[in-house]
Amino acid sequence: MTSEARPPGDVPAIERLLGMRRSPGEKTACAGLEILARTLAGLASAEDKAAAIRHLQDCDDCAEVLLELARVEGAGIHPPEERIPAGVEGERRPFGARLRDFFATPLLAPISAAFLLVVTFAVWWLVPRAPIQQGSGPGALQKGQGDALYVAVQRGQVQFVLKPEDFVNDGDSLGWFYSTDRAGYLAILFREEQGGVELIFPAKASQSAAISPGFKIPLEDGARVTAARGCEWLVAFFSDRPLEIAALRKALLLAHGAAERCSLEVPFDQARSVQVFPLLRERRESEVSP
Amino acid sequence: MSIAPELIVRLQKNDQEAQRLFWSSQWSYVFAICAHILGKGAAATDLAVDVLTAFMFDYVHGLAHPATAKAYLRLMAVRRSLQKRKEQRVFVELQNWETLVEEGARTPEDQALCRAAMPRLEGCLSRLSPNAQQVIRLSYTQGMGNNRIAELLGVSKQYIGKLIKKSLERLRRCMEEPIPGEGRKGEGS
Repeated sequence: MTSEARPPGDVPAIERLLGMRRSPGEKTACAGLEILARTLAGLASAEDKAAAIRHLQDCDDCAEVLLELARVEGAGIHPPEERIPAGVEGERRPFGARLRDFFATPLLAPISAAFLLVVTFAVWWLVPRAPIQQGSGPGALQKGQGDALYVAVQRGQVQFVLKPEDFVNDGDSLGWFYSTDRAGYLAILFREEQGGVELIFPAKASQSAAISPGFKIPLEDGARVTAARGCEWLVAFFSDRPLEIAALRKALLLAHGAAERCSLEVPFDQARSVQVFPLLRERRESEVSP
Repeated sequence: MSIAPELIVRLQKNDQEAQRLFWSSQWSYVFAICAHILGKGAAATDLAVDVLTAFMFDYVHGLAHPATAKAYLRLMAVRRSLQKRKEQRVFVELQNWETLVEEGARTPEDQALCRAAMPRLEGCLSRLSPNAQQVIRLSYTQGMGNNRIAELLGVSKQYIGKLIKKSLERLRRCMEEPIPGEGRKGEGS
């Protein structure tokens, strides 16, 4: 926020100021926008789709536009003609479904690659998913009851819920679901064996995000697994009050990790539940630490 | 009201009734996208007006497939909103004002006066109703006459005339308010 003192002398005529207030706008449309529109409209040929993929690999802006559009749709903002109860028009497929189809192609990889490392993206929930298997277990619950985080993995066309003994591979897309019997707040952070800590959910926030009670509720943000050495952990903090992300980062920095078993002890009193997921990788002999 | 291919064909022929139908059916949706990305306020209204007018009067003529109009419009709205959000973050808008002010101002003193008044004007515009913001944008930025705006929005030209007059008066009063140090709305840190 900047301060603006009254301009000296008379205020210029309002009409004149309004006339100067032009929008820079964009001089030319992105050539890729029309091909993306054709794809989303369900009119794209196989060649168009291939061209769309190529375009998205080169155009970070367009990839960002698609992801933002997914967020807009996810927030329930739909065109008037699509605000129709499901089943009323059996023939018409909603735009969101076509967007999911779009991401279900190999597009997912280049789009996500553009965002690098464990950067949040809203792609996970766009991908048509098999029903989550009931009874698949969450990570180790270190404290508290009634709260659970589930990590869902998209590996190529295969989707599954991560169990503590499962391995993750480079390139896997991760999505999150939680279950809780009472409203509260949730934050998910990522910790590397070397001590690096990153916030995963809620993205770019300073406090944990409010959550409602429910069973296996998907969260919008996701992550992509990238090449790494050593143990890594995802840690979920459920709480009754919003928690400062800075405090959670500090707790994770101080947490004691045991590399040989990939376990992590996270002492943190302000959370009602703390859940730790080790992200295990199949180690080759050359990568095993001495 | 969906964007039927027939409506797009009529827009391509500059059919004014089609333009009115298009505007009334798509305004809320396009504004909702802009407001979702930029936050509710004058910036979202401005952008929604710009997106709809650009689509209706410009891009629609280049659409190879009328059936892609709906997808194209929402991609446009999201794309421009993201661009605007980036501009707000890096204060590019202020730089653009300086350029525009220099083009429109007559003397160096005049330039300084206009440059200093612009942020205040943005804050004052945000205090107007969304309808008034929309009409002001159409009138002063898109350069439409009262008759044309009235046709587009499906209201009387007298209503548009009164709304503009009242809005200008409110803006004038707001600009003259002695509130030193007031921040411009919509600036991010």
